[in-house]
Amino acid sequence: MAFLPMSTLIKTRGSPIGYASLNQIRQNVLEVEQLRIVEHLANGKHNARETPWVIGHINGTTGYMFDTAYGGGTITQPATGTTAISMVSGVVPSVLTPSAGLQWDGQVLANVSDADVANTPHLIGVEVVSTTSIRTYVKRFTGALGVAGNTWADVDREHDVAFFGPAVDESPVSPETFNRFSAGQYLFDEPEYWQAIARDQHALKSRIVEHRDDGSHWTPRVPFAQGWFYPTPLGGPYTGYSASSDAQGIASVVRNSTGVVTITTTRSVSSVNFAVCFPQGIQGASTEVIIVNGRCVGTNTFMFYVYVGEPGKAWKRDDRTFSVSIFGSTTT
Amino acid sequence: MSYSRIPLVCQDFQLGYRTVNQAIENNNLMWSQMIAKHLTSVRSFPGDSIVGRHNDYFVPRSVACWFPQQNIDGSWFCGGTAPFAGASFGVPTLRDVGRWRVPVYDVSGVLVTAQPVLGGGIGSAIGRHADVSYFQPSGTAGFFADVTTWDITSGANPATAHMPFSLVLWANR
Repeated sequence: MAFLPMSTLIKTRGSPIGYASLNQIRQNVLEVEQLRIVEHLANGKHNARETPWVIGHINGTTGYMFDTAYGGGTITQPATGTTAISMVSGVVPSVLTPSAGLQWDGQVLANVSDADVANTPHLIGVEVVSTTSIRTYVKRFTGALGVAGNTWADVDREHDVAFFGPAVDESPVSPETFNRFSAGQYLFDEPEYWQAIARDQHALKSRIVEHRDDGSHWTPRVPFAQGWFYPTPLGGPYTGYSASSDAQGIASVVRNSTGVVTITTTRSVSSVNFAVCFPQGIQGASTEVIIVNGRCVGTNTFMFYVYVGEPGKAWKRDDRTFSVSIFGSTTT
Repeated sequence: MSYSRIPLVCQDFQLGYRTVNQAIENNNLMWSQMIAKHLTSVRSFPGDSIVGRHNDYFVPRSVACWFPQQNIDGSWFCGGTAPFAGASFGVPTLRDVGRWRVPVYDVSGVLVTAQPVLGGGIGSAIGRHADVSYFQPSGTAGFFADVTTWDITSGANPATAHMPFSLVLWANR
């Protein structure tokens, strides 16, 4: 039985409340529950491979993690430029012999978000060390922009990480027993049936806590703004930047200068420390490497710096298309 | 939100129309919330066909990790975890050194983010990078998102190299 919208069944004073409509209310509670239990935990948190378990901004050994239930609470710096981030056991559930490397069942996004990205490109690499630890490695380009060279140094810099892993197993949460009202049965005979409706609705309310009234996601583990951005006018010389038509949550895009872009979002975050972004450069020429570093500079403002390198040539700041997904603890 | 706490009742409670109406309205509100960003029926996308699964541009369509493997004859191919919600991906093939072609069948609003990720051997992830070039048309097969992986620090110049990477893909629903 599918969910039956019941607005047409709204009662008026004096209208009888029959067992059929009460049963439909009860059935609809179950229908909503069936939706809820897929990809959500009983407490309303998302439980899907596509939703990162560990995500946050890291500054030294301080992690501004959006949810430490699955890791990120313990951060160390075993060497310059190296950061070790703890995971709760099971978040990386099936690392297959890390010594042999290469095959494991988790995904990572990373971005260097330090103020120094305004000066020079930064690289970040991620390594799965064990089922309970990942490490990030940050390198800073130490040469001069515009001058041939390719030297990099290990540096400690603020950065963002997001770690995806398989959904956790959880026993299904069943609604209370579905006792159907029958003809001739009155609530004052069986108030418990009505109690079940009321209790299940209260329970469901708590389980959709990561959604706004309109159903949109409201959790720092799901982006609140994203899209891709390209320099304009097409063909150049570039004087501006535009967002793709399907970008969402973006208020404005401004090209400050060559390879420097400011993006504002329609929603704000509680603090610049509780916002992360993951830019991705999109290649122009097939031989060039694009590094895009981004950082939150205001509660709804993000700066992006686009750097381009090409074999045998200098690193430079330049205009290129890039995409961004922005996560954070939004205030609305 | 306008969800209202409806009262529990006791023996001989006269259940009025207002409380029943509130239950109805609560149901409808919760339903509308859930269907806004979740699937309520079987969709045509393989792997996306589970009722209740997310259906939101902001929730990735697919996440996967890819890694190079070498055949006994020395040729390379691409392995990886089966992409979850695999609608957007077929089996990728390795085109050139460090370059991966990932079929994308629905290019509407697609964002692809690639991040080199290595396992084993402390420090082995240093100086790795990945770029994406979108949407190389491929006849009737749709489009490909090319992912190129680079080793930036091993030599004087950036050079393509085989390396594993995470890939997260968003797309309009």
